[in-house]
Amino acid sequence: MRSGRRGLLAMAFYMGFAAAVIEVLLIREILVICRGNELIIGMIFSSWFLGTYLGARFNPKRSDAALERRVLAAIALLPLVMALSVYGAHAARLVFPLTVGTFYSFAAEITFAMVFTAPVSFFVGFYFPPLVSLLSREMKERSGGTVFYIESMGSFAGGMAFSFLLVDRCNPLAILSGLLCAAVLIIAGNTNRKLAALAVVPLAVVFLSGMIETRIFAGVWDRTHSGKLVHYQRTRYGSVAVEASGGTVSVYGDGMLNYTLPDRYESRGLFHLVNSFREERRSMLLMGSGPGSLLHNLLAAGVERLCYFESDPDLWAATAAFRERYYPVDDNAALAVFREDLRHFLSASPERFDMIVCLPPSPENIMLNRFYTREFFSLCKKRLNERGVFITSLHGFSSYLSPERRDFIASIYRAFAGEFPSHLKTSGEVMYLVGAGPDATLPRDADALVARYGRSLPLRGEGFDREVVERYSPDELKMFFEGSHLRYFDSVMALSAAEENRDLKPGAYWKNIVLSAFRENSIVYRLIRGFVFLPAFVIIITILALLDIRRRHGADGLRRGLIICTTGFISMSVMLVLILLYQNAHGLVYYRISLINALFMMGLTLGSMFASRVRTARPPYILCAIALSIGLVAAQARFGAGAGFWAVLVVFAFLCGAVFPALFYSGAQDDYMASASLLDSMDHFGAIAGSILTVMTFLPLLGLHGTIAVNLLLVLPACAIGFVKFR
Amino acid sequence: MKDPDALFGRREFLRRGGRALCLTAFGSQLLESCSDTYCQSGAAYYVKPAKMWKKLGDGTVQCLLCPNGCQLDEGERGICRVRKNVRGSLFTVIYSRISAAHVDPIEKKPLFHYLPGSTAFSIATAGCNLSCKFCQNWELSQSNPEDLSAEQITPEDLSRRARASGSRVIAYTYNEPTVQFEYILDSAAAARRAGLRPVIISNGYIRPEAGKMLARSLDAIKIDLKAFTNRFYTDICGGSLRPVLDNLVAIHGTVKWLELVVLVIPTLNDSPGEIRKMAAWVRKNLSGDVPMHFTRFHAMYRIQNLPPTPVSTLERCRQIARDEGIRYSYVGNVPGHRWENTYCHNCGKMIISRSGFFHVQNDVRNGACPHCGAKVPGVWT
Ligand code: SF4
Repeated sequence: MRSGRRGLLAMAFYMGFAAAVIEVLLIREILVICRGNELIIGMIFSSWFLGTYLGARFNPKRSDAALERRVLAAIALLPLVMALSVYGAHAARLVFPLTVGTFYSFAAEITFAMVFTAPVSFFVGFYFPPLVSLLSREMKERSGGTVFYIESMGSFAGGMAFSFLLVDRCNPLAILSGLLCAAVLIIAGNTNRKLAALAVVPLAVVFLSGMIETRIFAGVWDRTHSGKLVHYQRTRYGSVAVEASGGTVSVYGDGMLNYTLPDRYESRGLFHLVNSFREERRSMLLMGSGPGSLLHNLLAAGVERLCYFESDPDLWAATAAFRERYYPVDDNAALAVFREDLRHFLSASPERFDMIVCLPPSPENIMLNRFYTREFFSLCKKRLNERGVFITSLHGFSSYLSPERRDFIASIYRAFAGEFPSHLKTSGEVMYLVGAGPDATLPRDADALVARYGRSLPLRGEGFDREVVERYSPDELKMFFEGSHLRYFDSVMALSAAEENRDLKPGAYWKNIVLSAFRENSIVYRLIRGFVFLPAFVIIITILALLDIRRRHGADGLRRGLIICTTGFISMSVMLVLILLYQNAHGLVYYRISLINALFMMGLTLGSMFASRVRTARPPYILCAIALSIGLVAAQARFGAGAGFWAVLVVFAFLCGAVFPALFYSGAQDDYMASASLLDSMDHFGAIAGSILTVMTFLPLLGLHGTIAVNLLLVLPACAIGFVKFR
Repeated sequence: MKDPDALFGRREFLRRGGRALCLTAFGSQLLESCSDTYCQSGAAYYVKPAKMWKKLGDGTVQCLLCPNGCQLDEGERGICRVRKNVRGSLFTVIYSRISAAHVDPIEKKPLFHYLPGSTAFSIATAGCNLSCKFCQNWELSQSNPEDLSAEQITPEDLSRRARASGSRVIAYTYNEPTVQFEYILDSAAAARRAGLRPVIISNGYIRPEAGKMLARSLDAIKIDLKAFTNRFYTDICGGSLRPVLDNLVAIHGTVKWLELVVLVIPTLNDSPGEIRKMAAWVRKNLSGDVPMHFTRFHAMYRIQNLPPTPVSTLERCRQIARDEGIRYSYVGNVPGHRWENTYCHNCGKMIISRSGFFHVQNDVRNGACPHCGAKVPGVWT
């Protein structure tokens, strides 16, 4: 069963394609049982790279036939193990039951992330060295680079296919069955063509997948939630689930509760708070409230143009039937629904508003952190009319502010207060911050607000919810301004050393994660606070991995391992920086973020293709060019992801892609398999370190500029080693 | 076969690596724990001899304050984190150690039949003898006192501060106040001498003897009856139901005024059967005059991903309680809801109107309904 060159390259392409699709799919599916914050997503990423590292590292040399069997086994097992992981994640809540409405501890979530991810990605690393070894029969020292670029090409195609095609049309089971079908065909093509008939089985599953998926999802949901699942749909951003209970429906995005309808009583206080600042203000932008009572009653109160923003573009349509049952507002001429990222809208549109009310979810991740930074508040201020008012919400407190909560709140409050020196704040478990536009004046205090609002009551007109306006006394506003709580807040804020939350130094999301870990009093809290453990852990693990290389591959292997590890680290870290830069400047636009990933993979493909063909591409020169390209990234950070962003992205990816083949070529000599194992494992090892440290240490501690500087500092020693040993 | 080029063998490599990793993991923890305030001893003036305990021999003591009945060796603390065995005697380490002090409307507690419209100077320390997954004040209740910022407020200072804030009532609240048993006894006596009214907002998880002592020194008690199944108490709160019921029977009739709050959490304690049993028990063992508040759950502490209790569920709970003979049952945490008002049990007319905590119109005259003259249970002046 000796596969020819084409067959082997087809396998590399398939593995790249499947890995790209499966990686994204896995992250989305594990969020069924884990919170989607940066700690957990970072751990899923790291587990992915860890599995790949282990697969490439523990890969002893055998006969060609055995190696080929190993490759074919990896091809077949990848989608199968993935299916086990995906549905294992769903079943976890049944096997390890939880009190309804609670999450697993961070320690458990991290364990799940590893258990469900690393075994899948193991095969992504496991196939690589044997395939290089098999291909080296024909291609010699070009084998490693060739497999690398064909795999990258597959990843590029997989990323494109998932982002632009599969995500909207297929559920995970269909995708996995499709991959299994392709795997069977590849195996049949390289072994026994009769086996191709087996492809019918996964093909049949593709057609039944919708029904199977829904049954599994609904079955698990109804056993683990308080309500009954009445709607379920996968969107580009994740999954939307709607459950019904006691005459209410609750909408979940990626398993996290977004809002409950009807919410008339909940919004009574907030509606009047917002309305008390509205006065004659006519146009309003509203985000994060959910499409319930606040929106409905603001329209009833006479807002002439209300632009409502829905965080997940598919959510509005997905929940239409339920929403309209309680709030039939879709045909209201005053309402404009925007299914796009608010920051994208604000930075692109010149429209100004009399009021902007922005109530985003808590900043658990960098994506949400963008709605709590000084720059975002500044953007909102720019989009206010002269007499405009801006209202946002913030995690508050009940009676006491722990240092963890204090610093988290302070980082956001300072960003807000820096932009809106004239502001009011409320007390309570959710605090509202009210900022004034350049010519707006806010009431002096709560009493003045109550007196002023009292003059405009009672509210008259059609369409108000009875629960919101009936027997409303302006004194109810006082519950937002409890004097002793506000004085306590000010005194505690003065004690905090937290820096304001900024685009270029996003700290609030990490403080929020630390606060969550503190809340569950877990060991993870003790490990992640203080930015000591993770860097120390990564450094020690890296030293151990390098010693392992020194032991197995000698000094030359160590140098090559160090360089590729640095490249893996930098490519991951700078890529995250680039995505963040783009999001900060232009908002989160699904297709463009997918495009960033796709272009990165394309750059990687082109770079590795170039370096595996042009043998004069030497590692030190490439590393120097990487250092220069990081300088270009720094310029983008300085000037806000403007012109040239895409070019910088592709150039950077191109250079990162070139390192692997160049190193392989310069050091493979005759043990191609060992060389492939070394480089592939350490490339992924670097990526683990890069993903962990960038998100969990560098960004919150040093900011974007600091992260870029660290990357620059890391690449320089690699350059030096390259010049000394690989010129 | 050993690789001749290797610096050290595989086993040695694994051994060294493992050691380095352990050192990182636990070394950093050690550093953290030594730098935090947990290792520092509390100020001496917060440490006072405790009441309600006995010696068991060998320096071991048993705390008899709450049903946990912690048996503590030298240096150990109880489950509540605030009572400690120091050289064979039990001490409280939170005497006058106040971590939160605010002025709240009494309706926020909620106490609806106790001086409506008044404010309560509300204080808290650290610690709790339960560990409810829905605790609103978990930063206080689930912390060691040394980890919280605090100021010393002596019993006499407390009365002075309360007066200065314009409050008639002192409320021991937020965390579980009964764990500051000694401080409450002293400061409540001082408060009464100063013409103030001491009240507690408690989980009721205290032994009847201690409960009675507290009840005699307080003017009103609000108890969170968290559910009516032992399973809820064990799984969600780390306690048990029976002692709470025993304590309720003990304090009812001793304290001037008692109200009950049930936080209704979807699927966990909201079944009609459970609510019916609970209300029937209250009617039979306490009184139909004890107000019951069925309050709405919102995501809190560990239970972060559960929708708020449907208002229809709360309305159903209230109706069940009415049917079982509870004359004053309320829906809580639903500002603007009609069942937050008080309606005379006799004529059914509204006698106290509330919207939120800050708008209260009290029409009760001399403790009676202004419409029909029926006596309304409660403390009104
Ligand atoms: S009061 Fe504290 S120490 Fe005493 S029994 Fe209860 S939990 Fe234990």
